[in-house]
Order: sequence, then C-alpha cells, then structure tokens
Amino acid sequence: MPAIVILGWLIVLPLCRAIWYSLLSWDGVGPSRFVGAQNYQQIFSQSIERGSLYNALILFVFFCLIPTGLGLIAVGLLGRGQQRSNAVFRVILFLPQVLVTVVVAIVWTWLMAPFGTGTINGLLHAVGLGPVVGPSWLGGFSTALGAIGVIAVWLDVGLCFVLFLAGVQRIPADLYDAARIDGAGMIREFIHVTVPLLRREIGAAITITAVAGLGSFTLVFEATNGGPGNATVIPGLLVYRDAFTLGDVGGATALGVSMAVIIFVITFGIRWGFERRAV
Amino acid sequence: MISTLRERAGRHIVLGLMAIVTLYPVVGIISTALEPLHDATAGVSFWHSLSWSSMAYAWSVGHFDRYLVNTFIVCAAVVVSSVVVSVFCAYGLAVLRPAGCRWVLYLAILAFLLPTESLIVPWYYQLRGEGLVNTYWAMILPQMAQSVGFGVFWVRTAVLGVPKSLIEAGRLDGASEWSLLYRVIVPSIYPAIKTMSALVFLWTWNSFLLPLVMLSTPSLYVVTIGLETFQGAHFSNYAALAAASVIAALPVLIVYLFAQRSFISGMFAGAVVE
Repeated sequence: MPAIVILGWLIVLPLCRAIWYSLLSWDGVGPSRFVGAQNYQQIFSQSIERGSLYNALILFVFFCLIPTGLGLIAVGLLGRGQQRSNAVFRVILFLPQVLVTVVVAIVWTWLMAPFGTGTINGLLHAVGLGPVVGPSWLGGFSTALGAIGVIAVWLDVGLCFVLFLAGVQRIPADLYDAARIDGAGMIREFIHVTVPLLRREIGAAITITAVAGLGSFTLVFEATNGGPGNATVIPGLLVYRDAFTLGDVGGATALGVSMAVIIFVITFGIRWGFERRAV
Repeated sequence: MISTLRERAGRHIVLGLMAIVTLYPVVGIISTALEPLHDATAGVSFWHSLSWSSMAYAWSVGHFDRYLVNTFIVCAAVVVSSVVVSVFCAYGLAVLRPAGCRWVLYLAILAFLLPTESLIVPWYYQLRGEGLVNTYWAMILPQMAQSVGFGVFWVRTAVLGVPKSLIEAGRLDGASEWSLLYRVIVPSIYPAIKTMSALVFLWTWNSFLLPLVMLSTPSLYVVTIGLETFQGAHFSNYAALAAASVIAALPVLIVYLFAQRSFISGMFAGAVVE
C-alpha cells in the first residue's frame, strides 16, 4: 500500500528529524553542536517564548471557548426550528471558514484601523459610543491580542454553530416535550437537555478550534506579524521566525515539537474527558 | 415542537444579527474592490461609484493570472493524488484488514493532527536535501501527506458504512478485489469522496506557511503568497488590495456556494463519528 510509504516518508521521518534538530544548536548552514535539552529549557526561560505560550493560551480562549459558548447559546435560542431559514443561516454563518485566511486578515486590518468610514471605530462613533479617532485595535499593545481574538471568534462561531445545529437535530423531540411537561422553561431546558446531549459535538468543536488556534500562523502573520513589539507572538510564528529569520533551527524545532505535544495532550484530554460518561 | 410567535421572532432577530456581523466584512471588501482605482479612501468604503478598474489593475500588475494557475495546479494535484491514495488505503484498511492496520490508521490521524508549524522546519531541510525546494513538488508533497492522513481516515469511515451484504454479493458474483473496488465501493461512497475533495481543495488553496517557506521565485507563487507580496507593495491602495483579495478568494467561494452541503456536513460528520 503506497499510502504507508508516503506517510512514512513525509511524516514520520520529518518528525524524527524535528526531534533530533531540537536537540541541537544549529544555524542551518554551518556545523552543528549537540546541546541536549537546552533548547527546551529556553522555551521556559526566554521571555519571548514564554510569552508566546501565554498568548497562545489567551487565544485559546478566543478561538475555542468563546465560539463554542456562543454557538451553544445561539443554538439554544434557536431551538429546533424550521428547516428552510436554518439552511440559509447555515450557509451565511459558515462563510468565514471558507474565505482565504489572508483575505480575512487584510479586511479585518482595515476594520480595526484608528479612523475612517466603515471601520469599527467609525461605527461606534455613529452609534454615539466613541470619539472619531479611536484606538488602533491591532496596533495597541494591550488590545492587539484581543483584536486577533475577535477575528478568531468571527471565524469560528459559524463552525461551532453549524456543528451544534446538526447535533441538535439528532436529539429526539420526546426529551424536550418531557422537559416541557415537567415545567422547564427555556433556560432549564437548555442546561439539562441540550448541553449534555451535545457532548460529542462540543468535544469535537473544542478539538477542532483548539488545534486551529494553536497553529494559526497565517492569521497572525498577516494581521500583525507578532506586533506591536512582541504582543501577539504565538508559538507558530516563533517557529517560522527562529528557523528562517534568525537561524536558530534547534530552538525552532523544539518549539514545533512542543506544539505538537501540546496538541496531542489537548486532543486526547478532550476525548477522554468527554467520552468518559457515554450517553 | 410548538413555538410561540415571540420565540420565533426572537430567534430570527438573533440569527439575523449574527448574519449581519458575519457578512459585514465580506460585503465590505467586495464593495471596496469595486471602487475606482484612484478614488481609494482609507479602509472599507461603501459610497462610491462602481468600476472594474481596480480589479483589472490587480489582475495585471499583481500577476494574479499566473498565481491562480499555480494555485490550481497545486490544488488539483493534491486533491487527485490524495483521493486516489486514500481510497486505496482505506479500502485496504476497511475491507482487507491486513495485520498492523491499526497502526496505519494511527499514523494517518497523526499526519493530519500535526500542525504545519510543527513540521515545516524538517520538511524544508528534507526537501532541500533532495533538491526539491522552490518547485511545485515542494508545495504538493507535504500538503499531500497531510491530506492523505485526513483522507484515509475519512474514506475508511465511509467504506465501513457500505453494507456488508453488498460486498458479499459482489464476492459471490466472483468479482476480483479490483473490480469490487470499482464497481461496488466507489459508487457507494461517492458523496464522501466529493466532500473530501472539496475540503482538501479548500485547505490546499488556503495554505500559506508552506508556500511561504518553500518558494522563492515569484513565478511559482500561489495566490496566498501573491496576495501577501501585493500587499507589501501596494499597502495603501485599498481598492487594488481589496480587488486582489477578492480575486484570490473567489474560486473557493464559488466552489463553496455550489457545494456547501458537502462542505458543511463533511467538516464534522467525521469528527463526531470519531
């Protein structure tokens, strides 16, 4: 089966090499020195690298938890309504996922500019909520990460929403009717019926968005390139920078391997946590 | 379920709001793209006359014809090869089940879980060693590896869904493994193959880090990189930049609108079934 050959050559081999590289100190051109775990240590001691992990954690909230939450709420509000309007909304809300990420970054860069018509600041002003020249969302030290988070939410809510919608369709109506008979209002119904039964979908949503969030090189690179300063640096970006701009191949691969490990931990942690109590 | 008029109205309002927020940037950029070239006001703009001049400018100056061709080549190659390889492999895993097939499955899942960022460094050096950097292969091969990982997993699930009776019937009729594959399995899993193709196409079209690292000759660029360089050169020419973006995103968008059933049901029917 040729698939094994392909996968083996292109995945296993690079993975092993990555681990090997991460143990060296190398500039990609000259001779290499073996330095053991030093590169890994650096991840925790160097403030940039530590900061990137910290940023990734924050973005995790934005990429993953907020869209999942909003998606759930939206579906809860929606109930199991009519098919036709659902279909239209589905197509619309899923749209961001299908756009080229670079394009998304460019548009949002404009929307987040300090002033001008059509920008967020402009809209806020029109509604009376702010001055004409507001902060540059992506350029401010404290707001930049949040701004990227907002873009991430815009991107991912559709995915979560559509996912949960599909899941909700599978919940038998009797359960809802039973709840209604027992006197549950909408909120109760949501907490006790909808959420528990969507467990698998929630797990899937968290996995997909989390993995996407930890990577997300393209969005960050296009929107801020880690700026201003180092406020929005994420591990994925650092891997690129270290390896190809700074020539620190060892450190970059150490970071890459760590990212992979983290992703695994999260993926399997979620599966374990969610599928434990089978429905 | 009975729902009151209020509930329904509330529902529609919430969804409507979400839809507006979602669409606003999209409409904005399309509108800006249609702005006359030298009128360009800062950022997203709506109130202006419509003209194609910006699109034409982006097309020619931005060499997007070249980029679109490159991107198509890469995407087509990846989609076709991944689908073929995945189908074969999945057939083997699901029907023939040789020893060690569990491990192949795990390998496949591993291939598609790992982010590009983790693998990009060794990939670069490995391909450089083979002299393949800065070629179409550099973009096709790693992407194919990831797509095959996904594909094997995806197609296998689909093949497992084919009723055993169908396969048995085929065997009884004396079909060989090959014709079993062609005549029975493939037609049954056709929708899954369509979905996989659509998804792989989208992901490949969208790939940025991979081409960024691998390519250094402008004539080989794909649209994502092309857009990036265009942005560097025309940073403040908003209309042209918007036009370029629209050109870059349009093909996938068109595919999406035609195949959205596939896309949406595809993206997670697999994740959840897992």
